Amino acid sequence: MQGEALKGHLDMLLLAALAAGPRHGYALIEQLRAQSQEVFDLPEGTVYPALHRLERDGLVSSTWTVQDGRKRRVYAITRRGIRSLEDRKAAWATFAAGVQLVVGGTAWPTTT
Amino acid sequence: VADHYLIEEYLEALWAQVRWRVDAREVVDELRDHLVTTGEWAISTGLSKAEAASLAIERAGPVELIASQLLHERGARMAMPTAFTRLGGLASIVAGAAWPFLAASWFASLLLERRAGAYEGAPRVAWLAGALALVTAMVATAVASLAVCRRVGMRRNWAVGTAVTTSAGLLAACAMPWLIHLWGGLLGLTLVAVSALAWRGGFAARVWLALTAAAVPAAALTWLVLDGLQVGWVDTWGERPLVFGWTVTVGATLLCVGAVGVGCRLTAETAVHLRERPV
Repeated sequence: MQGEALKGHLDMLLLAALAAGPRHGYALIEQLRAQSQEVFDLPEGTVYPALHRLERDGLVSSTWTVQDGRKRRVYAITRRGIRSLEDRKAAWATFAAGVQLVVGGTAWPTTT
Repeated sequence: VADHYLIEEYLEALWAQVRWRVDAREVVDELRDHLVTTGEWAISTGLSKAEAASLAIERAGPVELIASQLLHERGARMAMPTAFTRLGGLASIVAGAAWPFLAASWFASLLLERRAGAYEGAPRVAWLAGALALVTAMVATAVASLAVCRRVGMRRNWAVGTAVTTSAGLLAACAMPWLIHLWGGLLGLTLVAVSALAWRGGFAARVWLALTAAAVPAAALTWLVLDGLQVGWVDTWGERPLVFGWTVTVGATLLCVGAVGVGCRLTAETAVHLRERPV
């Protein structure tokens, strides 16, 4: 999926990935790629501004750790983030169902 | 792959564009970790170091795109010099230079008083009240300017609130110069807090910040030591003017050097106008 199309859903996807447990940025991106069967393809560096934004909104928290002598930032979802994820998932389900009804449903009867 | 020149060049280019962010160093460190991890994975698949570094950079995306998102991130704290930065720098220089003048005046009035052989405390106290009010207000203005225009970890409304409250408190306290513990403590706390915020915000002139922050604690320490050693004579109020004089000298000297240094650094920065922002 192209970056622009993915952009509107990136926050929800990141929260969903973090719901499985704390991750650093690289692991998050790999998880998104693997779980989506490589459907999601966006510039990896752009995930970090999204993570910072989520942190500023209190939906995720981060801590710096040192692993193998290297500084690494690990993100975790907060309680507020879990609530937000549930809301977003419900909204997405409604939206996706609506889109499916339009693009994959029965043809609308013509009036002519 | 960690020190490959391609990765270093990429990170330097990113740094150049996002350096206005208060947390720019953390941002670059985080992306460095990402690039190195990607590079290590690429090497494990059989690529050379150069190929691995290129692949990591390609997957990370263009510097301009990442920098644009980082600079336009909602609520991101910026430490961007503005026209007001230079004004804050000038205030800091003037305020810093005024402190030795204050200390010298104190000693001069003390010597004149001793030569006259009579205690003429009232004019000295009155003069000091005015001088202290002026100088402390200028210092408060300077440090508040620093906080506001660099936004060193403060929201703008918090910075303005702190500046107004501190200036008002200092001016009120200076109307009663004998309450030196009150206004001195208030000034010291303000300088330490703002210096710490500026330090955390990545302000480059760290030596000058440290001297500014150390001024009041060093003066307090001088007073404690000299008063404990009972240096000098005791005046009619039961105080030791020489102890107080040296206390003012130590504090004033450190504050002068620190504030002038901070001011010079601020005035040297070229203002960045919004339309000239890097991205």
